[in-house]
Amino acid sequence: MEEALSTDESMLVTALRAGEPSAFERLVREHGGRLLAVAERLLANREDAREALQDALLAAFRSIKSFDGRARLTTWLHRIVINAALMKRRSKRRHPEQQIEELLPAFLADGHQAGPVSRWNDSGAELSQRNEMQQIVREKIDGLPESYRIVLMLRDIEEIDTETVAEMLELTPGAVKVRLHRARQALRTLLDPVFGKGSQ
Amino acid sequence: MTCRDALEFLDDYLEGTLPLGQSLAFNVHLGLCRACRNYLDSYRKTIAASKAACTQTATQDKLPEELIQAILSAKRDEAPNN
Repeated sequence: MEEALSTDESMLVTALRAGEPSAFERLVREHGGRLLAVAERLLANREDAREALQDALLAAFRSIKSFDGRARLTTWLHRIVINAALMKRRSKRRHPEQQIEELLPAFLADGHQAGPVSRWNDSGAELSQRNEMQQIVREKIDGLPESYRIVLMLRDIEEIDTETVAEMLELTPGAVKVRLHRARQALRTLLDPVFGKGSQ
Repeated sequence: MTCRDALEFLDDYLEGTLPLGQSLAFNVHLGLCRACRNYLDSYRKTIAASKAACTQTATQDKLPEELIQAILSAKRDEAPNN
């Protein structure tokens, strides 16, 4: 469910539509930090993220008249910065991608798991709240093959629905689901040495 | 149901979209298979850990002043009348 526009957002949209000189600066100052964080998460490169943010804010200003107010301004801007980041990502030369298969669970011929699966510490949730642990998790996410990492970021972190992610990445919804599942499994494998200390 | 089947169904199971028959078979398998119970638990924690790690950065970032000025300058260059 989309939420209604707040009074502050409504005033900002009105000012942007009227072309008030201070309105764009207010847009940048009030929303830029959060949007930069989104671009940095998606691009994993500070300079590319800054360029994507600039592209997104200029695009938002140019198209503010098409903003119909049914979604919150923050939601609309979020979508624009994601699109700008994906455009930036497409413009970059692709490197050969690491295979994900080695990070997926292995099975015996009869379909059972090939090895024991360690039990993760119950304190894992507490540990994941610590800054140093969050840094490790972010590094592991960055270690995923790019075409899987981007799906994990869009679905699990940016919380974009499957159909929309499929449109954004020019994939089928089924392919998005498969990539998300494999990305989560691969990340679980990468985090296992960190959280899975108590083997069965 | 084998471990391979169970792990294929994890997302549908977590989203509650697994058909009733498969959901029952999944739960029976979980009851018998410690490896898959551990896997499901760690899979859930993986999703939670990635959310915690990435959303933290979203609230702490403030745009550097020089970047703000660069964006404002780019807008002036793009549309001098605005």
